[in-house]
Amino acid sequence: MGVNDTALLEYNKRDIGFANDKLDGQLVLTTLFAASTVVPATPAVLTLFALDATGGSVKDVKFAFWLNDEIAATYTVSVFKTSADDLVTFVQDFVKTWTIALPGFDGVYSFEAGDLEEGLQIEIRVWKDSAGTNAIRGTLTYLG
Amino acid sequence: MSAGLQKTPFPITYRELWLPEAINGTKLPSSKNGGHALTLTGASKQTTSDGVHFTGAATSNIVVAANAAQNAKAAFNITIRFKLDATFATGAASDQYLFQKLLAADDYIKVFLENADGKLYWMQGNVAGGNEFTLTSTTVSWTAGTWYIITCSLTDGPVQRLLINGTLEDSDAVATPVTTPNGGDMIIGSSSDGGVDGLIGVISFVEIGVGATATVALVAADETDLAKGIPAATAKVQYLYLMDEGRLGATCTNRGDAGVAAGTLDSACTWAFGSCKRACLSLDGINDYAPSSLGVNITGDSSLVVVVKSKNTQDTSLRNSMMGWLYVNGNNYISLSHAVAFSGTRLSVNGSGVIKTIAYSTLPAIDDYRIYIATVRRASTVNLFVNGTLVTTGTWAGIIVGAATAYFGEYHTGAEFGNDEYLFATIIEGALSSKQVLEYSKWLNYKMRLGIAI
Repeated sequence: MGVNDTALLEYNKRDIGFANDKLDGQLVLTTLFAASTVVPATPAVLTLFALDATGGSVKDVKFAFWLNDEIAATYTVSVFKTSADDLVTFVQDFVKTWTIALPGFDGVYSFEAGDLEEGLQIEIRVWKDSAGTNAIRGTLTYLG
Repeated sequence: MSAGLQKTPFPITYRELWLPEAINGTKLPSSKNGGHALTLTGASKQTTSDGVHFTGAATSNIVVAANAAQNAKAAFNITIRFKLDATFATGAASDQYLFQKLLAADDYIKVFLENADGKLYWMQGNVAGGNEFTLTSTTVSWTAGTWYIITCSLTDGPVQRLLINGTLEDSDAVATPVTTPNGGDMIIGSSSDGGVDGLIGVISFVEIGVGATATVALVAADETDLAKGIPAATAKVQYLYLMDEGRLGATCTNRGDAGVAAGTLDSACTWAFGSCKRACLSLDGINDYAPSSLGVNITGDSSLVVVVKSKNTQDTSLRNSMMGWLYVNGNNYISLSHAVAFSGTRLSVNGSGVIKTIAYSTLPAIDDYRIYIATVRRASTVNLFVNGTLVTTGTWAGIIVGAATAYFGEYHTGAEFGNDEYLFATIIEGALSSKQVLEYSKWLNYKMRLGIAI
């Protein structure tokens, strides 16, 4: 077994563990992957991830994304959640809103969105303030 | 964070892993790095809700607002699957309405349980006064907790029919019905918005065809399929409420042709769940589907795992319906399906033109959870396991070549739609052994609270 094989094996073990733990129904890490897509200019909005806690609370929602450097713009990332007294309407959680000015280079940006109580839903939305094509891809992890 | 006290009983590597809780609009992203997301058309994230519970109170009803699609039409049919909280028979405290569309005192269509005789009534009023037709069931006692599927229809043929669980219990080909009322909301679960004569129990789905007789009239095969949970063809379904939204405050989405006509739940309605409460991928069985991007690996030895809440009995139907269709080309695929002229589940595997088909004929009831695991060994064997048990097997000399697309709920040409709800789908590296399948199935059953006896 070569070095690369070993690395792959280790990766797979980790990946398997995450997925298996998720199915276990315990609070362990699960990952979602969002394929490369284009960040729209406002008023259009890209919902990069969505997550549903119907089956039970999830904790420690974190997400990261990669932006390329093709377009200089101000980027906004926002967390939208439903609430206990309205399980179907998404409202902006303003505390979790960030503005990224001019990436300038291929950048990785990481954020935390907190916990998601049982029955609620969350969406991670992204947009920018000017037209032009640039790509974004990302991962979201949670303990659920 | 709690410690993981139980793990998979053996190492598993996932080639693909799809978890419906992560559905994002029309995408179900992969939970496997390098995996292939599903794109949903018509399909959507819903829940494993059994349906909507009604209490019979004034605020227990679902209102579908009157509109041109349902007013003054020559043909109408409605299929309702329901169960009662308490047994209903002669002497019950009051009538219990399942449906009514009423414009005026003598201008209505309605379906209700009559407490004077315990029968189900399917009636239409005549705008000139009196009843245009009255059909009644021969069934006079309705057992608490038992699901019933009723189909009531009228056309200007004239043909009026009343079926209980697929059995014709009354019909009339003499009285000519008038058209459906030219107004008045459709009320599900009560006689009116505010009526106190509504159903006390759960409705799990309502399918309505309304329009010209030539377009929406049911044929005998449609009626048979409806009693099995299999919807009629697209053109015959203007309203389809699968009632799997499962969220307080949610409306009841119309999955049929009439599109936007959502039903509004009144405040006393609640969503009914069993032990399993999870997000799921919901398909209507009419025209919904969920294919992946190209590149799914099904070569070599592999295992396809699909966990579903069965929404039809998989009995012989008018058409094939796909559960899992992993397709490279006509000579290379893995197919898990229900097939025309066959009652049950079939696994077909084709590798480089060498086909093996094996079949399992034990049918689920609607709402049964099932864990299907298909294992494929290159140039060796194909096995189908259901709920941990090997149910059918065959030898096979094929070798699958090429990159596949995964289709759930459809054939690759956009046909053979299925309506099972998906809780979990994955492709595992390697063919699981019988012991591994058993342990893995037990584990899935426990983790998802499926309640299957394994």
